[in-house]
Amino acid sequence: MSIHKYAAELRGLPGCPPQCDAASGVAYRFVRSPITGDDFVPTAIKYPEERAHCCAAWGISLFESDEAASKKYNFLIKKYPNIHKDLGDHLASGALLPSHGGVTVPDARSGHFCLHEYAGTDLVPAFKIVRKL
Amino acid sequence: MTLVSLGYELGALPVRLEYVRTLEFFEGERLAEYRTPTGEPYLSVWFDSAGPVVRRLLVRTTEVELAKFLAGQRSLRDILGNARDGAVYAVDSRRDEEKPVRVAFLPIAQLPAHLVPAEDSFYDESLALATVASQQTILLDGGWSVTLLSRLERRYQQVYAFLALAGHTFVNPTVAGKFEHYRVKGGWVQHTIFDQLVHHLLPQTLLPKVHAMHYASPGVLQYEVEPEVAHRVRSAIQRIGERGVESRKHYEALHSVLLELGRAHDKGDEDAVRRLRRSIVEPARALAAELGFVDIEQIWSAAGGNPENGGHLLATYWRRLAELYSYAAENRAKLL
Repeated sequence: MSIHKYAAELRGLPGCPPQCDAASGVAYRFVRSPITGDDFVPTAIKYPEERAHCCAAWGISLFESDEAASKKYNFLIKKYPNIHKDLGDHLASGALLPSHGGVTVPDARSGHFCLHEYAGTDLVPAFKIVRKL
Repeated sequence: MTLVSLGYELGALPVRLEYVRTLEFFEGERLAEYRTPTGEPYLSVWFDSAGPVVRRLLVRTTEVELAKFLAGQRSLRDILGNARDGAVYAVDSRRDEEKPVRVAFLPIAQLPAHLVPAEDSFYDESLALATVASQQTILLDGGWSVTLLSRLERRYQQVYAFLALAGHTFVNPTVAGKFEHYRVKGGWVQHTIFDQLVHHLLPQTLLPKVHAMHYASPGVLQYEVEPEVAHRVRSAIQRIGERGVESRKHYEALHSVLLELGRAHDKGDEDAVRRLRRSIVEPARALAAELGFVDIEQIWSAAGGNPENGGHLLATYWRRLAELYSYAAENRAKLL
């Protein structure tokens, strides 16, 4: 049985990760160029002081389509003009494999979902830059 | 990499703030609500970052501005532009420390133009954290007399109590028992029975309590609520709005049987009464399903097992809900 990358931390969050499907298909994520391991650090590690360490903060934020990701980015940048400094200013896509972890059901409106990685997963080689946002 | 200094540095934040809730979260907290010990609202807006340091703007706002922002009637740009005192606090913190490394008083006029949120920088509810607040805010707009306001308050409490009942079995057996053999004769009695019944079905401690009221035009009404029940009320109002024609069709089908039954009672036609009582069940079930109830038995049991009164209870609930929806549709009272 596969072990989650952050299993020790998830133990403190009841019901986390939620019911997940095996990762598959193409996913989109905001990254910096060039892509490094820093682009796949969960929020809970990036912002350790924040109280909002919900289950999703231990997952990797992804979108199911280029369009859904671009739409969200455009919405975010209207409110937070510096958001590119935090999320990156490029869109990358990658093919997810069951060995990467489990994915939550994409949100029907935003197309956003989370990947809860298995131990040993390295997403850097799986993702390639699509374009600058 | 460091953040550009903005504003006039202060030794510390001159106001004590308590975290209330995260309004937008996307790979970190972007927008959060804070309050002073006296309840004055502030918005914390993610603004910039450099390496381990994050800058947030703390904006002093008003209850009404905040409610309008959450209702999509004000943008973040408006909130910043209308910041009380014409300034915000720029708070720089290291990601791994709670204590700020720099706090500055920043007049809005000094905010670089290219970093001011866009005209359409509206609240994105889909980014709210699942943890819900135990307060229900109702944004009031337009003309509200005291009488109308009191009516709105009753309607909200009645719908809330009815939906709280749908998830529990807090039926007061004494009230339900009295209702079993009671014949609902007219509209006024019907409504009063509904009001009295829902009022007594839940223990008083579980009914929503007014937390705050800021009445002007626009104004704000806030209740202390059970988050799950408050969510059910909002969903029910949204549903009746989305399924307007369908919903009304089901209501009218039940209502017409109830009217016919009333006429049969008046004529003393016992055969027709028995037949019509049986025919209530189907439209009542259809309306209950339309309104999202899985189990109509609770409604029957609230009515003392009397389907005629159960039908009246359901029909009156529909009218209460439709009334709340009409206030929302006219932008007079919107549940946030």
